[in-house]
Amino acid sequence: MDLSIAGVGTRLGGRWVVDGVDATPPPGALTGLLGPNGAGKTTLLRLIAGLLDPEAGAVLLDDVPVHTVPRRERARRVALLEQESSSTVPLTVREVVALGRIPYRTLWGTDADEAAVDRALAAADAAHLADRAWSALSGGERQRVHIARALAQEPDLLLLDEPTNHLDVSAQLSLLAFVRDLGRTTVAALHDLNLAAAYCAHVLVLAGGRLVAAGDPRDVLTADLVREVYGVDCAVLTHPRTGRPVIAFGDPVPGASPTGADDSRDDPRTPRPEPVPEGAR
Amino acid sequence: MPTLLVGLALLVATVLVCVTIGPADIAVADVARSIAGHLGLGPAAGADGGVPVLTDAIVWELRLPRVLTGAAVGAGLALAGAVMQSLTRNPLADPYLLGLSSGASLGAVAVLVVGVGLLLPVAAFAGALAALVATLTLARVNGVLTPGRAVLAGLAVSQLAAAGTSFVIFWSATGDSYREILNWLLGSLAGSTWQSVAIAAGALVLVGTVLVASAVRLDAFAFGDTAAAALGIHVDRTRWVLMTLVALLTGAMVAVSGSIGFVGLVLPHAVSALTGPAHRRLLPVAAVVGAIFLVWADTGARTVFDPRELPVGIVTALIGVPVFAVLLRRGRGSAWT
Repeated sequence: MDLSIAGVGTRLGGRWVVDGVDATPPPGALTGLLGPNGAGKTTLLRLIAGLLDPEAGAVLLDDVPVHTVPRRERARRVALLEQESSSTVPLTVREVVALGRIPYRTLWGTDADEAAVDRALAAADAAHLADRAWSALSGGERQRVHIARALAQEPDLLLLDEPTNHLDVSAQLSLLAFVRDLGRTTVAALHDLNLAAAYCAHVLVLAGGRLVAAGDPRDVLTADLVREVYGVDCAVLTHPRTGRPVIAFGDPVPGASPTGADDSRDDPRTPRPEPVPEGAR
Repeated sequence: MPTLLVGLALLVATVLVCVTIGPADIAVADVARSIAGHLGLGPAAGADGGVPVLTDAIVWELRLPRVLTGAAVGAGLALAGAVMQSLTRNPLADPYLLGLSSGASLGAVAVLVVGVGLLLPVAAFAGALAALVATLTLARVNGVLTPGRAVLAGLAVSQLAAAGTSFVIFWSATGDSYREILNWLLGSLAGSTWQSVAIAAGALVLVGTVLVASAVRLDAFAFGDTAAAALGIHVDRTRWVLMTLVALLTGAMVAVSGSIGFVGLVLPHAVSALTGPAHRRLLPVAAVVGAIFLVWADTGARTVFDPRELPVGIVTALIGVPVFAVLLRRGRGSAWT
């Protein structure tokens, strides 16, 4: 499936939080969406998911603007996992994953969906968790189950908003390796530049709502870019075993502030109550 | 499915048994014969082989309408609670706690004063809807609705509407205004007639069908609005349509019984332990169990202190408040502040 982001932009509270972004994430691969807090990553993901109507441009799925695709059909083609997705409902893992079948349900839904749920659980390496209570899982397990839920939607396009948040190092690495190896077009907002450098085939760097760089992380993630976008000094090394870039951070550059940061409401560690339009991110 | 069938069988048994309970001793067989007589399936009352006329009157004119109204109201309130809890992601959501019931009472009392009894259910619906909008507006900060704030806002709206209801009755009532105030604020099924059965059951069937048909959409809200939207749900439309239906259901129930509390809070939690959280199974069973629950609560209310009768809301509060306390203790996470 071809994903093409064509001059897309939208305003929140009068400010362009995503502004004229043009990009073509490669099909079948993992694309990292980078940028400081407030750069517009979450809003761009919502635009790509078709949950937000663009005020300029469009996101095209196989040349059709995604915000014009009927909701149910869109949910069969695009899956979005938000940050901080939690529930007070006492669901089992299998029930959580079965939510992903809702776009396929008719009024009198049958159990034909069970097979798809099983496939999704297996694909996400979560089959052994199926009968556990969702609330009793660890952070890494929950994230895996969320991915299984997204896979149950059988989407062509997978969108992940900071999927590695709150995970320990091993869970972060295995999650991204797993997503990379799915072979599905995936766009993931990431905070950790080293994770992006290690696992993404392609990165998009946002600052102040605008796309400032795009391409192979080995070409894009330079010391100049990191200094310019994040306001931090660093040296970019090469990993002796993988050959991928490793970013060794120095001090914040005095007087420089990350481009487009609007941090007052946007610390990623603060769980945000959810219906807020997640623009300034 | 078996749970639902067992529940329906228990409900039928509950209705038959509870009609026999009361100051006048009436056998289950007489209840059955009286009902059969009215349905044309057996000899009429007073005729050869029929029940005595007095027994028939007690069964058919007094107890049966009351028990059936109780069943419909219990089912309706349980459904309303279950749907609100899912839509607001708030385990404490209940038409009574969020002020809908009190709003409906105020609406109902207001038209009674004006003397247009026919508009009673409509006015109760309008009152419930107004209270719902008021509670959500008060509770919502930057579009965020936390369970704790919702209950606080519901408390304020509920107190205001209750004060309004009391004032209107106090100002206008000619007879025993205190009793009437109590009946509206705590709920009572004492005045039930076949017309109450028609209003409550009609609303239950009409609205209940739509709510049960929306079960899958309600499931989609488990992880919040954005997750529901990503699953293809039209979140705003679904929320407002279903909330309006809940207000409609609450209005109809309050119009016939006053504001009976805690049925909508207690039953969905108890039932989901039995059926799991999937709404396709949860909603019908919650309705049936709510019906059984309220019929027994009302039977207790009218017989335990015989010849005095308690408002049924006292009985449901005695059962509901401990459940509320347990839920409050359990939900001490950050989402509640």
